[in-house]
Amino acid sequence: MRCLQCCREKKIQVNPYEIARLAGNLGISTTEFIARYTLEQGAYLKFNDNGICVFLDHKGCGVHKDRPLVCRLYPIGRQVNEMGDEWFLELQPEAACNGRYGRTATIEDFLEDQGATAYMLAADGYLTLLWEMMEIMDCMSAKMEIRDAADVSVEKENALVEYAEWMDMDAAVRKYCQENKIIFPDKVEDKMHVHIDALRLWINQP
Amino acid sequence: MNKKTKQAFALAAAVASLGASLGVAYEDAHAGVETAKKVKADSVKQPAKVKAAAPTKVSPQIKNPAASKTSTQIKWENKKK
Repeated sequence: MRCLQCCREKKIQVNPYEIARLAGNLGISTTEFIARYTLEQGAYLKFNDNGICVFLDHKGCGVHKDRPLVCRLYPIGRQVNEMGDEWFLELQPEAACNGRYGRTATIEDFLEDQGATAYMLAADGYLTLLWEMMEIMDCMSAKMEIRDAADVSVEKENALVEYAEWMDMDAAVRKYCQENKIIFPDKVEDKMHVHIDALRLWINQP
Repeated sequence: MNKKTKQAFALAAAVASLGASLGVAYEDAHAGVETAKKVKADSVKQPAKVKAAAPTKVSPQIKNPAASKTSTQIKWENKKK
């Protein structure tokens, strides 16, 4: 019997690829999905007043086919560092969990059963970009002048508008395709590659 | 407005958001990984009982993305405050 404890009192992180998969499942744009179903500008899925995932209903997960990586991985977790080293973690079960850890299968089998591979590749693609962004940010911070706080606040607000567009896959890819006169891709994987290309171009623009 | 400054703020916001979505910049983590068993990825083909190493302390409290460039992909505890 399923207890669904792992869908309660959790923060479920979602990267742009996962948002695009979930948005596709619901037949809406990533722009709409981020506005309706996420917290912190698209970083986490919303939960209801009882702390339950917004997609959990009486039948179970309403988006199971396109569920995020951390849901596929549970009850294990994954860590990846900047060098690409990868570890898997065995998490403590919930207090009222009905599940049990299997001891005969392999993690590789488990990942395959859960369809996790495409999601891990996507996470790794965005991670590579994130490490690049952090390096550029470090360089920029070192060069920035300290100026009037009020002026900085206005600039920050304007910048947030631009950044929201960066992280919204549909909006970012549409803009990039228009600017470069290329066809807007249909497949999520194709869109993701264009999205990463677009972000890389924007962060490196002079 | 200075384009570079605007870009720097946008980049900082993007790093914070993308980092959070990838488990890099989570500031208030309460995941049950303190007693998690860490398994090196090159042993994923072996049965779990063989590859499960001795429990290793894993700190999920990554406060500064620049300080700790590790992505932790887990369901985080969302403890009520």
